[in-house]
Amino acid sequence: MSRAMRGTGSLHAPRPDVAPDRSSRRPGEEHTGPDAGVGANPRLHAIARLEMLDGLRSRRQLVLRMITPLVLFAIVAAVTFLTRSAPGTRVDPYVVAVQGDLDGGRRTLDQLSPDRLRFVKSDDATLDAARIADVGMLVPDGLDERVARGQPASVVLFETALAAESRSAAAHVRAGFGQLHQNAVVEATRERQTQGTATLITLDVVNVERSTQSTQLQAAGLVTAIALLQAAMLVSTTATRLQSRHNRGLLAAQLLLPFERWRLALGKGLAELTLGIATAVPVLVLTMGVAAWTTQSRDGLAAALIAMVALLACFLSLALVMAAIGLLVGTISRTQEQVSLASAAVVVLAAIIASRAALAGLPPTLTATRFVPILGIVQSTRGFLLGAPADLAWMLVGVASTLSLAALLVRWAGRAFDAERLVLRGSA
Amino acid sequence: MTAEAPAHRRHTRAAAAPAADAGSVSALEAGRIIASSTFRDTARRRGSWTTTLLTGVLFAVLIISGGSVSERLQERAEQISFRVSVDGDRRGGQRLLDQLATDELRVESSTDAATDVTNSRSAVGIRLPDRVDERIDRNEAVELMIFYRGGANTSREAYNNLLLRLQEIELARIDRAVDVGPAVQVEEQQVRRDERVNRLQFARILAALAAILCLGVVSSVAAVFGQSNERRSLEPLLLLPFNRTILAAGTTAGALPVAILQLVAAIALLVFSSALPVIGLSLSWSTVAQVLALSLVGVALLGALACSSGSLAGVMGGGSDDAVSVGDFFALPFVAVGILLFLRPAFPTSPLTSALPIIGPSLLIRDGAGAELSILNAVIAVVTTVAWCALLIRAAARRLDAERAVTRSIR
Repeated sequence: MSRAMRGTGSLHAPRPDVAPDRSSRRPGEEHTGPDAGVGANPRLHAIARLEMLDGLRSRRQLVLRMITPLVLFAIVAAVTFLTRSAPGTRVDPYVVAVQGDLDGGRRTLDQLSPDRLRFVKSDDATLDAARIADVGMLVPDGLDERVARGQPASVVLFETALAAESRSAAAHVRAGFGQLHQNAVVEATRERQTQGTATLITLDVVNVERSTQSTQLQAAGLVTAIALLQAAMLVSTTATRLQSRHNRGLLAAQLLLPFERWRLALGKGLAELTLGIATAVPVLVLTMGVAAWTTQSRDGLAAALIAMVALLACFLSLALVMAAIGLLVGTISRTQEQVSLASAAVVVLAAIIASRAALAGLPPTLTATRFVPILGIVQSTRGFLLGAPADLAWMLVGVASTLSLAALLVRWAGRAFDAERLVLRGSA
Repeated sequence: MTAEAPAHRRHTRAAAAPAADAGSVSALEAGRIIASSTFRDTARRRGSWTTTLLTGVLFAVLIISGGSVSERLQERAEQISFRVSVDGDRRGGQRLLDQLATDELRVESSTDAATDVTNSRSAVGIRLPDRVDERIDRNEAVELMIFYRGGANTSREAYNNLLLRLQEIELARIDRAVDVGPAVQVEEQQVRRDERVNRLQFARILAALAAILCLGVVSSVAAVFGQSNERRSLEPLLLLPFNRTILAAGTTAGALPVAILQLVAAIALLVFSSALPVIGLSLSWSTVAQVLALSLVGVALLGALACSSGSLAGVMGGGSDDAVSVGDFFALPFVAVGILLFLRPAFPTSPLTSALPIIGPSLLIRDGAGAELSILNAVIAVVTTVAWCALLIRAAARRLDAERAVTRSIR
């Protein structure tokens, strides 16, 4: 191998007299040129260095790759809280679309949790229950008069079973009518001076999500989910950069070099991985900080450091397999649209895994999923951050399965390179 | 080259028109020439078309699987029951627990109800004090500690059901002592399989998905420009004696039909998938046709906006990877609008919101597909979206101008 390659990392084509003759060398066999004694690693290093330098050259691209995930996460958080869509954050009243004699029942309806329910007139409560309101209601004529006279009355609620807000609004309405009746009974009890306390059962309500334990639970799931989603973005960036280098003719030039195909693919993958890790630094710092903070409060400083290392290992494994996926996608794809489609599919899959395994959490007794690449390491990392020491061993299993998948994908990408080499070099 | 030579005149269809003919080519003709060249280049790529269809298939599969899951969840939600963990003096409160147990509330013993609820093993938890039944019999007040997860829908619903059940228990006990008129009876009916409602809900999902699909359009158009930079096919255009705005507008117009068609094809797949019985929307084919027809204007506007954004990103980018990175960043507002419409499906339509970029066309899709279209808001959305596109193209043109100054050595 030439000194120029070792010293500067630049790549020069070997001299003709040391160029390997494909027919005389078995596949995978090292060539016997002047650099034969150096071994294969410098070549891998040279390829990776070349790819990385090409990536570092565009500082704007690096900055964009760094801030795009941050902006995206900030947008999701901002939209969620601005629309009060985060569960438990809704403070505005539930809207009830009332069909029928609203005026004749206004006095009664205004007593139903006035701070939590708002009644609006509607011509079609069934439709408006899905359109402008949380729930629809059909009231009879003269509801106020009936209630005042103690006559039977009934209302119909139209709720959407799948909408949590609809079900909550319906519960408030039912509770409101129940409270009205209870108040009437209590009043009657006082008038008759009946012995005994009207209301016996009082409640002390605790929202466990405000406890330290729940905060740790949510934090562990959230940091794991963010690590997975951040890694998933490597697919698009890796594949797009490969496409770009292909369009510029740089890939064709590299394919003419006497390198094993898998080494070429691995070098590119490692370079993209390095760039991906570099651009993920802000997100990594945030997530590792959160993981350390939640673990330190429970188990101490040493456990916090271990948690940071565990999360970093989880991200590195995920980033490696995502870079491998991007490598394969970038190699197989012919157009940017294909890259976008494959990247979107991976992101959707990652989001599903993040919501089910990281945020919601799979049952701890489900061990089969521990061996599944990506899913296993996400599940185990979450469990370890929650203070389950046994999950550290499962993390190793997850890392092994994930890295195995990455190796397979790199191998596959290398084979795709090989097909193009055959075309370019006219080999049999 | 002279204007009289017939052979040269036949080449006027190509992008490099002879300088002597520049004055006879109108701006519109110049834009048309550039646009047709770009259109042929983008339409020729079969990979783009297959990818478009596959993108639509991907989202259609998501819709179908989500719809079929929702259909099963709908049935489960109507018979949903919640696990209630109880710790404390269970023996002393057994009668109360027996009264609490219903089809919806499954009362089960636990060593730590709070932990069960925290770890999502139960939807809600109760900690009983000592001798609850005995104290109730003596008409003494008892305080129950209730645990629930405020951020979880199931837990909140279980909590609501528990409160209602406790209220019923209290009323049943008190009612025996006094004579009061009956409570207002509340009958609950589930809203389902109503085509109007289903159409409305589908229209909301469609608008959100259309905004998110624009992410691919922005990246795709940005990549077209990026690849033009890499292949140096943009520089000959810059040497033409055409207004920079015409260059940018013509190139964008050339990419526009393919971008819009891609978006329309994906949306059409989604709309047709809504007619499948497995999804449970029960939309008739006539409704499907109406939804598709009325949403096309909004889809075209969104596609134009995405194409213009992609053009600006492509012009700002160096190579295709750089252009796509910029395009991904410029596509974030589209993602934000998609998330907004997912989380707030009933986002209000007004002249103000119709005038906002991305939001206006998305609301046009939603209201058109949901049969709630307002002509005034629709006109506002169309006019303002065209204006926003013009602004973006103008910005791209200014970016082109800097490169022209370099390539033509203009002071």
